Amino acid sequence: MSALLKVRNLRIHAGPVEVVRQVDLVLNAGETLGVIGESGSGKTVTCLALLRLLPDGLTAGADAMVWRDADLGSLSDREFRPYRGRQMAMVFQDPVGSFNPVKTIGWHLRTALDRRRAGAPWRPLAVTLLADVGIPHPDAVLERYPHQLSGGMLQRALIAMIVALEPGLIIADEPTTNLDNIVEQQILALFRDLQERLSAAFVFITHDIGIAAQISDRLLVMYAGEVVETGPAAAILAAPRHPYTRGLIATARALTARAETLAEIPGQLPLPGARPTGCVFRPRCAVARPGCEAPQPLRAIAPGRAIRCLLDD
Amino acid sequence: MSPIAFRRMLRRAGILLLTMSAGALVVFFAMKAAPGDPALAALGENARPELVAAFRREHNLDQPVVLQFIAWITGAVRGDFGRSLTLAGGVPVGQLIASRLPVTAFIGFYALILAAGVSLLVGIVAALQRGRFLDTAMTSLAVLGVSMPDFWLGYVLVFFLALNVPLFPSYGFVSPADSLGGALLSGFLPAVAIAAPMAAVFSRVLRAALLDVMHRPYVQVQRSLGHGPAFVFVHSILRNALIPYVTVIGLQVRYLLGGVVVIERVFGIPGLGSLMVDAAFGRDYPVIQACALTFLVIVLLTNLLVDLLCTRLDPRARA
Repeated sequence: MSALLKVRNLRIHAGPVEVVRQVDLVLNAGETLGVIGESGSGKTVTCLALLRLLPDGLTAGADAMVWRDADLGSLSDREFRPYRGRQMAMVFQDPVGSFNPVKTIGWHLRTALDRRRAGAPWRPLAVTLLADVGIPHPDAVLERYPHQLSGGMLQRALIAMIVALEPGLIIADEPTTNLDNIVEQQILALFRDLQERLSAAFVFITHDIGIAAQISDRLLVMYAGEVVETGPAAAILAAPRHPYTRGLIATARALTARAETLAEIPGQLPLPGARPTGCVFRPRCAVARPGCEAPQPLRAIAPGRAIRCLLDD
Repeated sequence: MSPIAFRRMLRRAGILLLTMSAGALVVFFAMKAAPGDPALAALGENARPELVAAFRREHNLDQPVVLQFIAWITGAVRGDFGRSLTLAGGVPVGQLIASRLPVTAFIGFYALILAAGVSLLVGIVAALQRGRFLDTAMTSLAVLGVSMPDFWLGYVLVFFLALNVPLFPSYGFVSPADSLGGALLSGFLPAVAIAAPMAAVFSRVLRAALLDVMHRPYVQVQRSLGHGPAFVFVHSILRNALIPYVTVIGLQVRYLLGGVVVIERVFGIPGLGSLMVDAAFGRDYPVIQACALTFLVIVLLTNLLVDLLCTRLDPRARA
């Protein structure tokens, strides 16, 4: 199977500061990549860079960025635009903020569908799309304004818009963070349903390793703008190798077990401008040793698995 | 119309009526409280007492104030504002208002359309060129525009565009009923003098609103779906920025009326403003009251109009 999207050495700068560095990605159709890490670890900007939607002040570069057989790096912004939505689409964190408050849900779906079909009546398609993501009374919902729907309903409607575009890659950036627990489970169920129905590749950004475990085939663990561990989700969850990944999983287990003392990773994420030399996790690492002050490459430790750590066990 | 919308309409009409009544009270009693005797003003300081008494009787000035108010307000509702105290033959005030109002309305709308049109263009360009030369230049111009008093700007415009280069008439006004072209030409300088400070405010508001909306998440979502920059600008950015813009335009209408009163004097335009100023000098209180009441009604009706427009623009305001 040839890869859908291949990115080599993606890096993102905020002026002179390197915010994200050395990110390699390979995404295959029908596969879900979970991207995990603390807030501020560079998950979201990495995905925005794929869509060329970085906010002002951030610039991205890569040695290679290939979609199917097209070299995206050589495209101008104008030439790249057709890829947005139709090829790669993104579900954002805040469903309420994702909708233009002065337009109906119908307008949102119609304009999304306009990107795909020419001339065919949009309404029946829109109704089907809304029904497919579990929205009751889709016909009436088309006339509703965003402020008349709940966050969960809006997230479903946004997902319906993205399904309408039939993209090859769907990126979901913490799509359940702003939703309550029950709705979160419903949206996750919807994503699993989409994974079965569509042949798209998925990227699921989350800071919750439990969610990542439920939904991903492979994991990419990011810390301070770097990939620190990557590999099959099951293998990483069973035996995490990077001390940071271990910390994350220990914290998540302590939370689910309602332990008296929360296993927590001491210290905090370094600011992008004040990154330590060598291994960026070293100041917080319990097992740091001589040699960690040297820059760490991402090294393969098993087929499809790599860590940015010199630890060998 | 849904029952909720109907009830809201009723409430709005009720509030409008209350505000108008309160405004009419203020207009009437403020005039009564003003120093000076209209009879003496009309007949001269040394008028014979019998004449003064007759004048007072004729104009109901000998009645208790409350009865005067009731007589005035019931007349006003029917469009009868009494007769002028000073103008020859005691012209009915309603007739005066009817002849002057269209002139003022024309100048006012002219200025409003100029201000809205210019500020729409300037606000959009400044927002899109944020921080660059055009934005800075327009910001400086806007500061200048806000700082210039309209009557001063009026004289400057006359000096350059009517006297130095005779493009426009310096004085007087051609009624739009006689010649629309003439009205547009003779009304241009006064309209610009009124519009310039307003356009400065409007364009700043629009620029700020556009910059605010540009960073809303839904704009990024629209881009992420692959919609083009023009589509996103028109439907998401501009469309949402129009809400505060229209609100501010509505709030500025009262300043517009103030500007009209002054500018009509500067350019010798026979509108409601100059009528009111002349009446004030002559202590012609039925005319002053009627003018003030007319301005009040105009402001209240525009506020209502802007309210309705904002409800059209913003579905969240319809709840």
